[in-house]
Amino acid sequence: MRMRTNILFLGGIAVLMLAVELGSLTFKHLETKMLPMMLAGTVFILTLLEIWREMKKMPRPPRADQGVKAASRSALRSYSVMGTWTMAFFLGIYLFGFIVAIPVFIAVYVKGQGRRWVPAVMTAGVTTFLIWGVFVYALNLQLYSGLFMH
Amino acid sequence: MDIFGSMVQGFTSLFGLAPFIALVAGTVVGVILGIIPGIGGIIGTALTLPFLFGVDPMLALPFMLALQSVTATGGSITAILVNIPGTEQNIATMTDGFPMSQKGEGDRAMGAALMASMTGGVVAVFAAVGFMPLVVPLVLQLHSPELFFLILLGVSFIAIVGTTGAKVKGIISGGLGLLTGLIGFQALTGEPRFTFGTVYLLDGLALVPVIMGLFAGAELIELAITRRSIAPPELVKTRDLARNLWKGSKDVFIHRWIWLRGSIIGFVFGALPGIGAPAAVWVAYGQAKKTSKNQEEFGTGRVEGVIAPEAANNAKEAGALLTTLAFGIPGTGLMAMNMAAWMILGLSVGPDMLTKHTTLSFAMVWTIAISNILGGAICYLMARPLVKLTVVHPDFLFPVILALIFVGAFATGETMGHLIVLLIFTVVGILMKRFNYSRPAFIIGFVLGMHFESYYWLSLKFQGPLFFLRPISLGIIAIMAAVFSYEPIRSAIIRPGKKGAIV
Repeated sequence: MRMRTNILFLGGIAVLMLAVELGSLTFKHLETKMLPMMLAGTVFILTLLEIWREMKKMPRPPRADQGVKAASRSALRSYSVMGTWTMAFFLGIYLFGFIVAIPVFIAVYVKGQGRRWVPAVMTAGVTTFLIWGVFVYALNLQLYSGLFMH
Repeated sequence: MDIFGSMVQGFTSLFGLAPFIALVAGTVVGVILGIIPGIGGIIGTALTLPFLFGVDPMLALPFMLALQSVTATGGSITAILVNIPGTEQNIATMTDGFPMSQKGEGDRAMGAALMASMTGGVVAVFAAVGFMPLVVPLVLQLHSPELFFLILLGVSFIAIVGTTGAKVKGIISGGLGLLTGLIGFQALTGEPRFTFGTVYLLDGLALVPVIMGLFAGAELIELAITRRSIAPPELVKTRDLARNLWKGSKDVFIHRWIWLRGSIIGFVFGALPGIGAPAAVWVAYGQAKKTSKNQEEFGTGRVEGVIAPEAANNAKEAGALLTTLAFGIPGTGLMAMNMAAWMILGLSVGPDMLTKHTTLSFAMVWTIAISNILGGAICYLMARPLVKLTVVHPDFLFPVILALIFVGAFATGETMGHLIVLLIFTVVGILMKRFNYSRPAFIIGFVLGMHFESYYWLSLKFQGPLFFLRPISLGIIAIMAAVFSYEPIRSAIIRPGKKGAIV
């Protein structure tokens, strides 16, 4: 199963390299197109080589292993959950800005992991204060204030 | 005044009350800026520029040089403990430093990094002092072909830092990194490449969000999923901190040849304009791996993989200062900021600095030495509270570090585009880690790709197709050939069955 996803990943790279080759042909100057074409061509060939090696190593299709399938689904679910948290944080920054999104995200995340409100809020407060103190007050950085708070 | 007199006077001038306070203040600020991801020496210097108008140069110069000299030292701490490079110069350190933290040896890695940084910086200063009269004719010999082959040397180390047993994957990673580095304007023709019509991509992808996504973001997501601290709490005993810090520091002397080569590489690459820090640290890392008897263990927590790049990243400052003073050509981005500051202070650099203002030049060089020692000492004192980060539960660590990564990535350009790049490369980093593709190789390709292409076309344009026949270029090619052929030749001449015997 792992090997199959590895081959899929390599296939994705190969397709990307083909796209880079085709895209490079549209550039006007030789200096612009030469290096991308050489590199994409080399990586494409190496990718095909690696696909061939992986397929040689691949065993005969195993009987459906429920344990392996369940582990893969569980890993995918974990990544999806963390990806959702991360995207939610990014959206929070985009909509409400750093100074609002940071404490809200930290407090909600820590509480969401089963911790109590007091440590969640304290972690959020201390982190926000430190970030504001260092980046905004000391370094005079203009942190993004969000679409709604602008 | 003779050279020796200038050397002594330059040294003693730093111990007046005001200059020394300025030096210490610069060191403290530099360490703190180095620890904060995304900030580093360039931004720190940029932030201090407005305050330099009207300030006595004997206060401003020690402050700024000290600040820049130790940011890499501070950056090594977060690189080792939480896999976030404080500066771009600390990426190579993460490769083995963070795995050492995961094994509960974060304090030992810190000891090695701090000692290597301190001693590498100081040794490079003595090299700068010794080479000062020689540097002018040497650097004048370097043109585009030589710089191209030096970059090629750095790029070729992609094959060395690629995961052992997965060299093809390492080269694929490096190739993808090189391609990613080509996004934006082509330097010679001005034609945009792979920008998809966006203004954001015209300048290429920014280094900091790419690095943070590939390494810090990816590792953080993995950490949050496992719900385990960076290091098992039972392995991290802060009561053994002093002993482990000392053990790491001793490692530098045990692996003194690796440290010395790393320092020399850092100094030489720092002295060469247009090469930059990433090439220096990766070449230093690559030589440490190549010459080690435990090559296959690199990337899993070898202390040599921390010593070499840390020695290089501090040593390069002395080399960069030398050529900046001598030619007015900054060897690194930090030195370019320094030059801006010197102009504000009324100083103009060039050969006169080494002939008519030798006392001031030596004072600058000694500043680097003293600040490296002070910076190392400050970091040793901060080690105890910092090493406890490795046992904090990810329920708390994940959101805090994620916030820091986002702010750090944003800070480098104050654009939301950096956050999107950060997210994309977090996904790329996770995939590369899952499928065993070398992220360090990707970064080497990424940072060196643009220079690689520019110097190639410049060499072709000004020297013709036989540009590789220049003497220094041939010398660099010979070094590359020696480095890559050493192992196959050694294996071929050792008689099978007689380990270590040479026919």
